Amino acid sequence: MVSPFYNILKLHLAQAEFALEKAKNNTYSDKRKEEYQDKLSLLFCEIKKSVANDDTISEAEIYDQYKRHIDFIFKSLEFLDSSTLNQIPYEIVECLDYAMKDWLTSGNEYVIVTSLINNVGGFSFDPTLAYSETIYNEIKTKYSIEFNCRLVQINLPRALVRDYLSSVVLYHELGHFIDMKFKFTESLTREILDNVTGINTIDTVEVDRLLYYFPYLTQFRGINTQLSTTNQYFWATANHLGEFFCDLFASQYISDSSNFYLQYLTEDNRNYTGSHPSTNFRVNVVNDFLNKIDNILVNRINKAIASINGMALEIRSEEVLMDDFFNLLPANVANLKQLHGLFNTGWKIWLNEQSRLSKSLNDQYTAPVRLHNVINNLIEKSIANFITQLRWEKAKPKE
Amino acid sequence: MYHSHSYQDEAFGVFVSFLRNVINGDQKYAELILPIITDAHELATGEKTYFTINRDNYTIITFLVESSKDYFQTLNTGNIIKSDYQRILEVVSSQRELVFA
Repeated sequence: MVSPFYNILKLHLAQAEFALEKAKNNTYSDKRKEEYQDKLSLLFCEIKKSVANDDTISEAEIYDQYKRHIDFIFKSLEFLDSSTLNQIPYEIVECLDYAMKDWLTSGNEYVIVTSLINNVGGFSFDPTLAYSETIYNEIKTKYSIEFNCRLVQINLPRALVRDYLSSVVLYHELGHFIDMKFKFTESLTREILDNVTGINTIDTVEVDRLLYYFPYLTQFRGINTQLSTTNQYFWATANHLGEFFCDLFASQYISDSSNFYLQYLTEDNRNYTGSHPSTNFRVNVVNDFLNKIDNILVNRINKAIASINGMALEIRSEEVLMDDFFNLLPANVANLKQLHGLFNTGWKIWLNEQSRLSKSLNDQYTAPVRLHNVINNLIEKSIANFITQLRWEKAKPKE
Repeated sequence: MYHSHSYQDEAFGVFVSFLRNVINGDQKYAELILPIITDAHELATGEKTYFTINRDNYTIITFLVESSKDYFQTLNTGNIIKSDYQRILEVVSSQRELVFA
C-alpha cells in the first residue's frame, strides 16, 4: 500500500499540472518568459515520470527530492502569471532593468516580472527565484534542464502603478536585491563588528566614527570577543548597513529624490529601530555621498563592494533640463544616465516649480491631481520615447 | 523590506536536504555540496575571507565556520567521507535548533 504522503505528492503534481495548463493562455511581451514557462513544463514532466516509478519513497525523501521542485514550479508560475502583457508598467521596469544590468554584468540573465498588490506602501522586490543558484544547479544536475534566465519580481502598489514620483523607492528596493546577491553589507557587518570589539584592530578615531552611526554597539567596544550571528545586535547592524547601502544605491540613479519623501513617510523618525537607522542618518549619508563629502560609511561600503565585485558606488545619473517639461513636451533623453535623471527632474518640479508648470498650463491645472497627472505623463512619455529610439538604433540596418 | 531571514532559512533547508541525499547514497548531491564545504574549510583556515567566499552560499558557509571552526580547519576536503557529511548535518541541525530555541 502506498503511503498517504505519496498520494499527497500526487495531489501536488495534479495541482501543478492544472496550473501549467492554465498558464498556457498567458501572453508575454518577453520571449524569455515563454521559454522559461516551456522549461517549467519540461521539469514537470521529468518530476512526474520520476514519481511514477518511485511509489515506495519515504516521506523524508518526498521532501528532499520532489516537493521543493514542485514548489519551484508554483513560485515561478506565480511570478509569470502576474506579469502578462496587459499588466506591466513597462517604463519603470525598463529603467530598473538598466540599473540592474549595471551591477549584474556577468553570468545569468535576470528578467524583471511585476506583481500589482493591494497595499499602498507595498513597493518591494521578491528575489525568491534569483537570490541563489542552488535550485537551478540542483535541477540541472538531477534532470539535465537548464533555465535560461532568473525571474526577479517587483511588487507595486496597484494604486500607484504609474506614479513616477513614488516609484523612485523601487531603486532602493532593487538595492536590497543587489545586496542580497553580493552580500556586501552582511560581509561588512562582520568586519565592522570585529573592528568595534577589537578582534580586528583599527584606529580608535575610526571606531568613534563608526559608533556614531551604530551607537548601540558602544557596549561591545574592546570586549575582544566575536559577536555571534545569533546576537540581535549583529542583525541590527546588518539591517542598518543594508538600509544605508540601499539608500546610497538608489541615490546613484535618482540623486536626492527620495530624501524628502523618506522623511515624510517615516515622519522624520530620529530614532533607530532594529530594522532601520534613524531617518536623519540615512538622509545625511546620502547627502554626503552626493556632495562628495568624506563619510566613513560610504568609504567602508565602497571598500566592501570593491573587495567583492570590483565595483563602486558612483553617480550614475545626469540632470535632464526641465525646459521641455515646461513646454509640456517629453524630455529629450540623450543617454541612460539621463534616463534615470528624469525622476529627479520630476521631483524637482514637484517640490519647487509647481507654479511654473501651472503657468505653462495657462493656470488651468492648479489642482494637485492635474499637475501630478501632467508630470507623470511627461516622465512616462520621455522614458518611452528614449526606449523606442534605443531599440530603433539597435534594430536598424547598419549602413 | 529586508527578506534575508526567511531566505536564509530556506537555504539551510535545501542544504540539509542535499546532505541527507548524499548520506543516503545519491552522489549527484556531493558535487553540489563540495564547494560549500571547501569554502567553509578555506574560511576557517584563513585562505579565504568574508569578502572572497562564494556569495550564493555565504550564509551557510559563515554559519558552519562560526559553529564549528576547529572541525572545518582540519577537515580534509580532498577526501570527504560519509561520517563527515553526518557530522556536518549534525552541526547544522543542532546549531539551528539552538538559534530558534
